Amino acid sequence: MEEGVDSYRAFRREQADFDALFRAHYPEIVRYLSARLGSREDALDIASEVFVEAWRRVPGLQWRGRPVRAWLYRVAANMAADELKRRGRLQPHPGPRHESQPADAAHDRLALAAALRTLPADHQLVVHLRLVEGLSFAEVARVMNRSVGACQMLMLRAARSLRDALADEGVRDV
Amino acid sequence: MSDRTLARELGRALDGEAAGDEARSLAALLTAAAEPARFEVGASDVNAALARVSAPRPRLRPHLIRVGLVAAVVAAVAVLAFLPRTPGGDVQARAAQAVDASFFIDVHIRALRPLLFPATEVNGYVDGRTGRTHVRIYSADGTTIAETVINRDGSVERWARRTNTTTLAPTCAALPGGCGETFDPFGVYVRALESGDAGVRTVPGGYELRLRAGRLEQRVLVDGKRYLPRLIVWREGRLPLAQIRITTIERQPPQPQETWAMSPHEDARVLQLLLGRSTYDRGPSLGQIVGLPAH
Repeated sequence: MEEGVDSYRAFRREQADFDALFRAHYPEIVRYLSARLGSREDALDIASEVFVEAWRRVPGLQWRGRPVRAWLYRVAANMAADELKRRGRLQPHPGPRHESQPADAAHDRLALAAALRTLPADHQLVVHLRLVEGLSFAEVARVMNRSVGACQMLMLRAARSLRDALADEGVRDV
Repeated sequence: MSDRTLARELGRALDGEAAGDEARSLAALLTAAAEPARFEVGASDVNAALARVSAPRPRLRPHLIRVGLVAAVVAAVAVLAFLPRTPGGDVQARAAQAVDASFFIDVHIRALRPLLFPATEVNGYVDGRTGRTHVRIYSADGTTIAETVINRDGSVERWARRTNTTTLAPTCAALPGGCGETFDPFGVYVRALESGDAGVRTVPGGYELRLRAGRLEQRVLVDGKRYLPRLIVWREGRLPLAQIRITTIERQPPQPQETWAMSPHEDARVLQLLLGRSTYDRGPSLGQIVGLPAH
């Protein structure tokens, strides 16, 4: 219960101090959007929009047992989806098909990142939170409002989907 | 190997712990896929973005504590404290059983008439058995503006941010304005109970409990499954005055003593009020402290 009270207090602090909220979470939202959109410039623009929305709406959020960060990711995910729709990128876009070459590791990594963008949004989010931001599965579970086991299963599905997508693309194992 | 087992093993592989071949292979794949997103966003970029986002911000309105705030806070918790003593009826009996414990509550209070008092949020602990209460009051922007403790013997401690003063009073009624005549929930409840002027009717999703005192009435919506209050509406005659929405009410195990103790407030001035006597400290009254009009 103490953890719940601490979480609640953190929630209230972040609601009350926009600058601190921004400094704490803007970089990770930029990284998340960059991974979703495949463009760092677009990520910077949309991250700003996310925090303009946060400025308007976070003070009025009700405590539902989840951190403000969860709300930020939800808004960012929605804005990313809108942007992808706008660009007509609803269809998977793993990049041009290519024949992978052993020496082309950087190219494979880009193909991997592109393949990651074809995964469902919740798969991308679990990968981002755990592997880019370094959150524990317990923290990931709080942000995603799921159990730890469910997040681990999402991660497994993400990995398998990624492996299948890469196999289709003829990319060698990493 | 089941998917769930493999998922756990993948989790261990991602933590750098020992795992089977498939889990390690999948972990390597995921790690490589995430690699391009691992970049730093520099402090100068963060500052520039913050400046851009901050530019159109409206200025924050100051949030004043007005008549009704203190009492409305206590009203919310008083519902829990006094429901067990509500006379008669199966609903009251079940409600009494339901609230016979400690709870963590979170309530949103707003006036239903313009300019009565600003919207606030209150959260903290209330003991349905004894009426002990420890709540914090937040303004709409999330700032803690006050903290109130009601002890088992009915004595009250109240800290107000505005003056950084903690006021100690033997009863709620001893607080000038804080438990003013029009909003004193304890008085309202006691008088309602003494007169037996409480009624229950069935409404969609539960029950409505009505408690009257003169022209004032509280309508308490009680959840039909949990027998816990969800919404309280204060009315004066036919006009609604204020609404208290209970967004969270979680039963808690017995709480340690410190749960019910006032937090330390650095450099806070302490004001002791006595029944029927002047205060030790001839400083500002609580009414002045919390911005209530003079009585």
